[in-house]
Amino acid sequence: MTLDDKPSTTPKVVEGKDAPSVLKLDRDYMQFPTKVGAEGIAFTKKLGTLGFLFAESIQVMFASPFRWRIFAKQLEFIGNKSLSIVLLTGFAVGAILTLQLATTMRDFSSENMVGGIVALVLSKELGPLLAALMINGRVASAIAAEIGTMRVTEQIDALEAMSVDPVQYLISPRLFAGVVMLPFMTVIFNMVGMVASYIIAIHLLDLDPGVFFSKISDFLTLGIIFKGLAKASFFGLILTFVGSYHGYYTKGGAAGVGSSTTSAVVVGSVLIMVMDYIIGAFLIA
Amino acid sequence: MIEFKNISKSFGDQKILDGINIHFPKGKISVVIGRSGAGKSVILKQIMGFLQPDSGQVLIDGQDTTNFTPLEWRKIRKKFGMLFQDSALFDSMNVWENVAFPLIEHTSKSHSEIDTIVKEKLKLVGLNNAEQKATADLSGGMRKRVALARAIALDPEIVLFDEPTSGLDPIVTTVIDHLIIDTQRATGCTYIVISHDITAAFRIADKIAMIYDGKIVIDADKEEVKNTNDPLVKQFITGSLEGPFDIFY
Repeated sequence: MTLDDKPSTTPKVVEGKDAPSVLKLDRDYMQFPTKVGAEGIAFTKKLGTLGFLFAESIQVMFASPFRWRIFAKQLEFIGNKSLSIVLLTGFAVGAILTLQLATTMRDFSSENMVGGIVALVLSKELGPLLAALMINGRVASAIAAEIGTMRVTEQIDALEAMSVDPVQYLISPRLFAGVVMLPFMTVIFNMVGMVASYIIAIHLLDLDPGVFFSKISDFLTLGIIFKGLAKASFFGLILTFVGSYHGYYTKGGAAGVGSSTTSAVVVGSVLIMVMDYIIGAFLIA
Repeated sequence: MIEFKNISKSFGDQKILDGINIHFPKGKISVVIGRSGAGKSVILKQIMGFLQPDSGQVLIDGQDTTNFTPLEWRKIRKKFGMLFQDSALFDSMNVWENVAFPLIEHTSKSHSEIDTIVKEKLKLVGLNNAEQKATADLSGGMRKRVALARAIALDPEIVLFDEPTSGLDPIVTTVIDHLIIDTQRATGCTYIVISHDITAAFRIADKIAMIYDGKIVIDADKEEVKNTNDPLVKQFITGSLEGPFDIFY
């Protein structure tokens, strides 16, 4: 074959009795169930891959050698590097919540309860949820980008080629760091939220500090705090796993890494909110 | 020795390997040539167990790898070193950490022993005083050399090269080719090189196999390949447009 033999790529125009008819439309409709089926199979396969990767990550989490260096680095990345955003969000949420609640409750002469209510809402719900969502934004995307880049530049294959389990090396330490670090970040979020609440309630709205603190101890129990922290731990597992999963199965170069990063943040956020409702309902029941 | 027995592999409808038989002798440099997309890298990935053949057997030192578990693959991969097409250096580590990585993972050597080996391997590939350099600061040729040092750090029995000279200038290509020859002579390892660089192939090979349309069209000593009358092989070696090659595949 030579260059002159290049095949024609011009599409043929079909006319006369061979032209497309209404039968073609029928064929398109017939393809609909096939397409739905194919999508269903693809989704099931994805769920299977996700399940196997999760099971493997948990299984090898404490296998020898434990990756202390990567674990410590991830603790620092999830914790220390997310501190500013957690402090900022925690303060803003505490302040806004107190201002809105106190001004509304003043109409019912019950504004003195604001300290207790803010403490309860932060510990039970908003602290774990919002801290996880904020951390998800930067951590899940960074994990997906880092592992995804390693995938497309064959660094994960290089690990395999050197007989190193990439799941145990890359994913498990991140999951463990997420589980450990999210409760700490939630505690910080809640504490900063309460400091903001105190400032607004006492210095701006002239509420009594003694009542403010006494209502906190009325509303809050250690059980509520620990349930909130357990939830935070679970969110840590979700956001690190979603980031790792999307990174690990990245395909297609730089565009693939970008798409994995976006998916990690979106899926992570949705999963955190869905699981928050499910865990909340379970705890209430 | 590594042997492929009647190996077939398809991706969807596309048949990449169609019942190929090939062997890579111990202590020699074998080069597999063929056009881009011919399935050369698939051969390497099957040797490493990254891909499984649809049918046939891959034998490594007489062991059939068909039903290997991931754990067995991990065990046998300790015999291998691999140089990837784009080097695949860990970009979160510097040169020293990259070369030391397999030693830290698979030996109980002290830091000073590892340091000695890393410096020795880096010297072997012509990189002195580059230990603390970040991988992002390395040129293409330097990256390949660091990757080669990492691949031979554990003194493996078999080293695999995926397009070791792609994207390099002719001088650096010659440097890498000489490194391949020199390190092979020094270690006596089995080297398997995937390449479409004909000049490099003839420079380094003891034995050359060519893959075309999913089949091995020649598997012989390099002199035999050089003097072959096979029109396909001749066209590929000369890079001619005239011949039996399907140019628009």
